Amino acid sequence: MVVQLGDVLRRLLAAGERDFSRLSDELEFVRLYLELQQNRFSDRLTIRMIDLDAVPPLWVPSLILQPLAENAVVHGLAGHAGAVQIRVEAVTYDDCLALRVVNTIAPGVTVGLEGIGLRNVRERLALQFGDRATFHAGAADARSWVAEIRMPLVRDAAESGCNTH
Amino acid sequence: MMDVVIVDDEPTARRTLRECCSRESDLRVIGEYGDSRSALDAIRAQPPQLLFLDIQIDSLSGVALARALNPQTLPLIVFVTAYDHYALEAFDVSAVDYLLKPFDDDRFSRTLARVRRRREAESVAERYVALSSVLVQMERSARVLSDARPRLLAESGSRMHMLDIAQVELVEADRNYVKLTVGRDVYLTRSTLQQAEKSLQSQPMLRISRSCIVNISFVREVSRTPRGDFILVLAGGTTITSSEGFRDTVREYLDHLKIKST
Repeated sequence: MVVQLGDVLRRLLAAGERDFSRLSDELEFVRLYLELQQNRFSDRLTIRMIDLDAVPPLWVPSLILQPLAENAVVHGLAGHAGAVQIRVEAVTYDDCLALRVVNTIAPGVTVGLEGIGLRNVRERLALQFGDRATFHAGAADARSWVAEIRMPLVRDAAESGCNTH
Repeated sequence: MMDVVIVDDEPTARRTLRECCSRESDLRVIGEYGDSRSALDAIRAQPPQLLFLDIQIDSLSGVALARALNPQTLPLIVFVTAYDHYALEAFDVSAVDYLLKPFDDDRFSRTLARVRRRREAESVAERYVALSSVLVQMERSARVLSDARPRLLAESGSRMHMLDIAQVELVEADRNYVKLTVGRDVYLTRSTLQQAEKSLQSQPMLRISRSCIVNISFVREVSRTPRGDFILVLAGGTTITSSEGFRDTVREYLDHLKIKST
């Protein structure tokens, strides 16, 4: 089912869904997805989302977080039968937005090569933002895996036509 | 034998489905409803094994009905819809069935064959997970459609913005960039003028020179140069002049709109 949903989403994307979504919608969608997975793996999976009410009004490429969440579920659960915690964060710095999905990994479990989902994330970021966006995925320490997107802040255009901040 | 309930607000659609079902020896239609409320009451009182459910991707009433079903007695669901939307196409690879209206006997038979296989192969729990994922997807599609104002990614200085294209007053080609004027602000986008023109199709855009397209709803004043070219003043205060090659196009368009040039 994990794989199937991912396929649906990628096809949706290929079918030309709007390129950008509001960050709050994107996080809400990831929350729904993770809740769905939590229903299946309730004994193993713990989800920690950032407070959706505190999300800044920014735009992100549509479904850019979804492959990270999917990856965290698949790789977090793989190769052991223990508990997994997944944490989703969105943090803004001066001129950059960091989106992070962190999952615990079993000690000694090696993670395979980057799947097609994560490769797409990298390619889409490069297409939209060139070298102003980065994507890194890797072990943060022996117990956790981090996938992080850094991209420019994309705001709404000022409604008033006055663009000072 | 499968008990069947049909939910569709169109009487003709209900009749077609009823007729298709009546030709199948293992189907028995136990109810048909034109609204979700009475359908839900009936389904709760006597759960069918198969539900034909009309969904309108922009209204969510069918989705709400599906959400309200008891997971323990969840019927097989065939979504019936007139919307040939890409989101529905994607469900083919997923774990639900749908019928696109209008459908023929062949399509009905094929869908029913899948339903029968699914009934053998799937547990109610698996069905519930599959349904939930599709409902999430539908809700998202509905939300995207309700906020589907085309937007463009553009830069101002080093800052990036999403422009609602209805805000864009003026589009100008500028070497590798396209300049977009919104009020007093100018944004750059890395698309070509053709791409910009395409994404601005929903707006009343008028090309006034080889490198310049104006959103006519922002034109506040029109005057002429001594040579007869048009001078347009936009809402944000920008003034632009049509080129000689586009003078006739502009005049025709303005005549058409009955904007009097002074």
